[in-house]
Amino acid sequence: MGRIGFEKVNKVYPNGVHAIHDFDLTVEDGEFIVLVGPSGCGKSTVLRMLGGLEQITGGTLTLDGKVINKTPPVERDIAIVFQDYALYGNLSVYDNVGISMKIRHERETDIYDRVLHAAETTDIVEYLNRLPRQLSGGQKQRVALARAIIRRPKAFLMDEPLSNLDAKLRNATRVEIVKLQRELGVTTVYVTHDQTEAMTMADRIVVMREGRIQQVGTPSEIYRAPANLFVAGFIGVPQMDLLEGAVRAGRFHFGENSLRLPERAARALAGAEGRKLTLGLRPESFLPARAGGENALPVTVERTEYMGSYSILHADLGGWRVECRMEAAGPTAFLTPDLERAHFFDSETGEAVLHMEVEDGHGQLD
Amino acid sequence: MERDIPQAEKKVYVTLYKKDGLAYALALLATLAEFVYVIAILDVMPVSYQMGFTVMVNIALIFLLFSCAVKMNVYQRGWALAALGAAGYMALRAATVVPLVLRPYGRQTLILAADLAGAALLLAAGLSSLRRGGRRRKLQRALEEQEGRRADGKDRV
Repeated sequence: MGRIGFEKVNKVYPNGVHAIHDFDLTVEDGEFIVLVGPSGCGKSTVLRMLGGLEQITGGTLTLDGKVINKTPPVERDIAIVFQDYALYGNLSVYDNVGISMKIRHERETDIYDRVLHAAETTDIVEYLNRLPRQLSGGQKQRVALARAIIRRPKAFLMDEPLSNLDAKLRNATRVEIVKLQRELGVTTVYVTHDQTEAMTMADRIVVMREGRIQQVGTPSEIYRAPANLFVAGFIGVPQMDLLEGAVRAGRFHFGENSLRLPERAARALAGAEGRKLTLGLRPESFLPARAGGENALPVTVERTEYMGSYSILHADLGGWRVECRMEAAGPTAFLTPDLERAHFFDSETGEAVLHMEVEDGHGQLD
Repeated sequence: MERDIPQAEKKVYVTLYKKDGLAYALALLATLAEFVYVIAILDVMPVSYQMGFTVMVNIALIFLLFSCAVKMNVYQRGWALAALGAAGYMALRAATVVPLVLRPYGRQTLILAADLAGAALLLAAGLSSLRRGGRRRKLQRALEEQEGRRADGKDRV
């Protein structure tokens, strides 16, 4: 079991900085949850509070229903994997992996069994006699994982464990971590600022900003129905294009341009006429058009990034800078935004007003 | 990588990944005993030509003991034998060299105790290292043969 609960958890540092505001979250047993957000948003603080490395100022923190607000880290039965591995440089991989059992004065033969099992799970058996300095970054990270799993904890906490790896190794280790977590079925809380990691690994994502939860949901929910402008801009590569304007007479006006809204959107946004709205379009929601027509807007392509199977166009769309993903590179004079996949936000509050894909019915969320 | 094996056998498997901490600790204790012996003997032996020899021999011996500790820690058979040799020399020294050649005029009990303790510790370290190292080498050979047979099997396939 490893059900984690945060109820109105707050963290205020002695210098008065309010790092975490009323953090409410329940992590189910065996769930892989990813905390994501920009630097300084408080995601590592949440992790450290859960691990017992930071005291919470207010609220309740529970593990399997037991309040652990004041439980020392060693008694929480939680294993932490850090970004810099935190391996003992003077101990072999075998000793590093078995250190927690050694400290508990367990029998050498029991330590052997568990170390070997952990090493086989993380594929480091051949490195057991080496010192950490003789390992690559990815191998060190696997040792850190093995050290975590040998304890058979109720939960794993991972604080940006892939940040020190190169891109190729990061992808491979990412897959391994997810596979391992599925095999072990241990509740995992993973912190990252890399949204690709968040999207590919998580059962659910928690998007944070300035110590507050912005949205909690599956990767699909977060991508297809961002709760506000921050989440919309933060999740997605390239990020969502945002055009500020207003709805009048069934059309969305921005700058000197206007787009005819689908009937469903016009109906849904009828009450928002005159209010400032922001139209959000994912880069893949633009279609190239050879000539002007209904909703085809003239663009000036400033730069094209060739990505192999697709290209990213950096373009000027009626005075608004947009990034579009095109399957084939070629001269593009007009772009047609696919408004059936559009998102609308209230420009003043930033909150989502309408997600076309979700409301549509054929875009059911997972 | 067997796990369903008797405890005694499993202990040998553990030596594949663990250093010989026992032999290492015993040899270090023997080095400590040798320090006590040197300090005591140099204080109470008559000032003579022997003193220089005693100092030089003991520096070499302490260096040997420390080397034995480090090398027995990683199961090196040759150094375990050297430790047994050094233990023999220390026992012989307690019986002959000290009373007949160096002839200390005081602290005889301390010198004898340090000398014999060092010899006993070193003997225990050497024997332990030989025993554990022997089992370890046997296991390594068996594993290598097993690995070789497996590779042969793969080649045939």
